Amino acid sequence: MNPSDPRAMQPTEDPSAPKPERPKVVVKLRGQIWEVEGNRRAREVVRELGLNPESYLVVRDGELITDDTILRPGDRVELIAVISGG
Amino acid sequence: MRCRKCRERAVIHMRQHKLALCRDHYLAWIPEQTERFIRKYRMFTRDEPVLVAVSGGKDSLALWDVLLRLGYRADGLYLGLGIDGDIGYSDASYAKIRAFAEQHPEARLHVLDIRETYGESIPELAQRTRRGKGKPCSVCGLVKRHEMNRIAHELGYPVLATGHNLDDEVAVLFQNTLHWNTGYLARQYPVLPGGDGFARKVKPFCRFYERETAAYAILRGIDYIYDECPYSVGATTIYYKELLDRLEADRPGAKLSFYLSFLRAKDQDGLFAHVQEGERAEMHPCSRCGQPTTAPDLCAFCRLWPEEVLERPTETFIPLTLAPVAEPPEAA
Repeated sequence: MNPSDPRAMQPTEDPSAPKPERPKVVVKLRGQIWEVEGNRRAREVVRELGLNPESYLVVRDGELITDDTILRPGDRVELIAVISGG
Repeated sequence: MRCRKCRERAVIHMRQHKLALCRDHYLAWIPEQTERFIRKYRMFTRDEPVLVAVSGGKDSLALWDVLLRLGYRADGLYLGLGIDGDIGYSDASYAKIRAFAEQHPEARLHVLDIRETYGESIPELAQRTRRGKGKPCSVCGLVKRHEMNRIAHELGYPVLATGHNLDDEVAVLFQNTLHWNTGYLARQYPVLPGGDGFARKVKPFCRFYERETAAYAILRGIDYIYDECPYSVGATTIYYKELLDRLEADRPGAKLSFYLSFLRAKDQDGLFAHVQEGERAEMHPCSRCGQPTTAPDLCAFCRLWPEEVLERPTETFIPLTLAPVAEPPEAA
């Protein structure tokens, strides 16, 4: 389309329509699911959930990752609690 | 983060060692370090059969796996405790252990069900004897210690290995230090000598953080029981572990340093040595089972059960051995 064509200036979306939600990081722990913002290190996500990164391992797509790994929107991770015993 | 050895993607970062490793190098590092600890603390030699106490959790199954990978003669011992907790805890634990054992035909698995043997599960026993204020943990520990030692002795294993990790050791050290429980502090060590009715007790994982044994189990594909014992909810040990992990988060290496400084104080400065000498001297054989005790007649385990239970035929108390067995272990 020619940029001078007035149709090119038309908004592609209705500004009053609700914006689609940005994908989030899905976190699973002991059967519970949380959705949190991405583009942050795994340890920051763990802390946001009120947990201590020392006490959890992070698995993404079945692979263990270090807690400095950046989690991207759409990532699905599982937290594995490591403390056991009584 | 990259592996220090090959620059591949790291799967674990051990801040206390300033060491990040990839999957392959981590799976090699754990057995190497385990072997180092076995030798350093003179736990056992390759000529000695080892009985590994397995619960179905990450630590004990990982330990059994590592010892087999290192070529040790390591067999498993499972005690069925009869704990359900609405999740079938003991049954689920046993299923994990059976599955592991089936994948390792070079090892044997000995199984003793407490209820079948003595007529009561651990929760039932705790209720009848009213020990532990509604929680069976105290009586459970007592039964496990006695039976593990008895079975190791009767089956000819000079060494009993448990999967205690550094977090277990540090939580106990912390608790005993808070109470200045010098008797327990005197006994705490990676290896407890055998003899006089005791199997030698060893903890080859005592210098690994709990997150490291969990990482090993995951990376090796070991299917362990993830659920906790239902009676461990609110346990003091777990509370101390959480506290110590908060310390570790701020001061990487704090847990390891606490434990190693304690061992050094015992080794080099003789900390609590006089307490330990006194305790062993006070022991004598239980008048029924023969295991060492400080009680005047029957040991605490034998006092738990009615006389008719303890007088059952000898074969009642022999564990079931599952397995691909080649030969029985050589006598100690």
